Amino acid sequence: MMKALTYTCVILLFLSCKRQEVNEYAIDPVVVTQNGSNKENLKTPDQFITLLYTDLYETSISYSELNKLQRLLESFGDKNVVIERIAQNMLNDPLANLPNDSVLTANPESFIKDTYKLFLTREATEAEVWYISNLISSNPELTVKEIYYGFITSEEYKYY
Amino acid sequence: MDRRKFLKNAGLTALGTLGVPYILPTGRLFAATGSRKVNHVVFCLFAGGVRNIEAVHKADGNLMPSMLNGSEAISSDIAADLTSLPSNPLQLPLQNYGTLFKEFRFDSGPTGHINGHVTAITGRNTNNTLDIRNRTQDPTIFELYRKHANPVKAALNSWWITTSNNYYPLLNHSQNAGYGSAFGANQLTPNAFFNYNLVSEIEDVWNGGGQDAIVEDLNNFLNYNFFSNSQAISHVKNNKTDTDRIQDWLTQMISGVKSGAFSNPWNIPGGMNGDMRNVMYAEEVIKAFKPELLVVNMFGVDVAHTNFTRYCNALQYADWATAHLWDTIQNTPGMKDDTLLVVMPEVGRNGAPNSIQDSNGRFALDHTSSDPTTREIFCLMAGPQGVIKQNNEISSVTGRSIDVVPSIADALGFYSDVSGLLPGAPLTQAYV
Repeated sequence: MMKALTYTCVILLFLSCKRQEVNEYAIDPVVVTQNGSNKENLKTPDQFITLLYTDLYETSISYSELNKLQRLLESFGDKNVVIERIAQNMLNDPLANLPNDSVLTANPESFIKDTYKLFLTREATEAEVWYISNLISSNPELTVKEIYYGFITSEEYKYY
Repeated sequence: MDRRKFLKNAGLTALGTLGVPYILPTGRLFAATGSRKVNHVVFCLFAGGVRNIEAVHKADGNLMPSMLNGSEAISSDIAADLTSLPSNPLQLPLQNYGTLFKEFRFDSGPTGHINGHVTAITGRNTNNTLDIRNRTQDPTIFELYRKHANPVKAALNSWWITTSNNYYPLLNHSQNAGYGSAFGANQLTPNAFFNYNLVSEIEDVWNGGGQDAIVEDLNNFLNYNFFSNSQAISHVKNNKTDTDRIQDWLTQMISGVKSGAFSNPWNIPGGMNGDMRNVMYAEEVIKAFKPELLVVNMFGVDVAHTNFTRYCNALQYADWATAHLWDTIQNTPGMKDDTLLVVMPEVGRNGAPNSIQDSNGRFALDHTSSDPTTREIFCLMAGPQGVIKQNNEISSVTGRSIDVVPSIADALGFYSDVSGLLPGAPLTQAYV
């Protein structure tokens, strides 16, 4: 009797076990980009501030900080005027995550491509890389802060 | 031609194209050249709901001694609770410099603050369908002015200074397809914007220095390669030159806020209230930009919903601030003797009080559409001798709040182009 029970348990144990197939995929990081001509949605002031903060500080904006900046934007009709000031203020902040200016001479093309991805969420065209490289090489006093400011205040950065 | 030069020329060509005169709805190439009575108009919305009984009828004494003639004593039961303000900033009460319509009317539409503001700024009555979360469909006085004045005026010429961010900023332009943000006014809510803690967020800037020209080149290049079909409602935009002027002004103003220069420059005992501060900042805009059209509002008297004595006190503050505004206009080169000042509450208040009693036993006042007293307001038009009748008082029922926009259009010389759009008419009784 005991023997029969042991055999039954062993048979059930085998039946209950099923070979599980594990599918594993190697995932490479992919940057999702968007063609500039496809950006049809104007960012709301809240979206603009939130994204700007994230782009410059690589962290989410706090509620209190967002609230302050929203109040400033609500209080002035020409939003560009306020955005210019907010952007300059953030770019002057030592806590903002800006590359060192040496990147402009060491590897300008890489910097330009990264800047397009960071702010305009798309690849730079060859013509764009060529033009801005030229601008950087012919104006050695230009800083990362100023180039970032040019991108932040561009029309394309206002859209997604 | 190098690329930068090419881009600059392309930009200039684009700007030139924008500057080409367009055909107006009237079919004319340019706006009509009406003869201007003055070159500047300041419209002070003496708002929050002011009852004629306390204002021009002086039932509790002259609570507006800086604007109205007369030395009627303040009712003894409330007098002790009213702030003793500095003497009148003007040599004579403001009514001596213009025409007072003592029996003006807000003759149609709900008697809410927003309805009253919309009527005052669009020249059109509203009804219960007014959407108080969105911009009005009817063009505002700012858009009428900017589109129809000849030549077409930049945004820097028109300003809307509001006491709060609660709906009122939306009145700087409508969503009317023929007008809209392209013709809107610069809007500023200074009590919020120039808050000491907030200005730190926009204080540290580098405008006017460094590599501005190169950054502008970069910006032009990025913009040259971008076009969006977005139909999103945009906001008012100033041109580059005017933006730079505004930025310089903001830098000065923020420095003043930080140094305490705007804490209490009028030396008001106990400090300035929100209305006074709003008018003070409007005066700074006047001094800096000499706008052709500026509208500023007040709101402090609305405390009348819960406290009658404090309402009377707020009325005194609003009165003093309005006189100070006229004094600043008359001390601003370019605007002195060339400015029309219109002062009007947006709505009145009920004849019958509510049940809330203050410490002096006075009952508070609401403003409801069913009470005819709520429609009774006043209007004061002050202006240069030879243009506006001086020390002129009209006691019969004359004028409606929808007449203010036509009067401003008339004063600035474009009424003939907008008369068909407006139900009201210029207040010719005030003119010489």
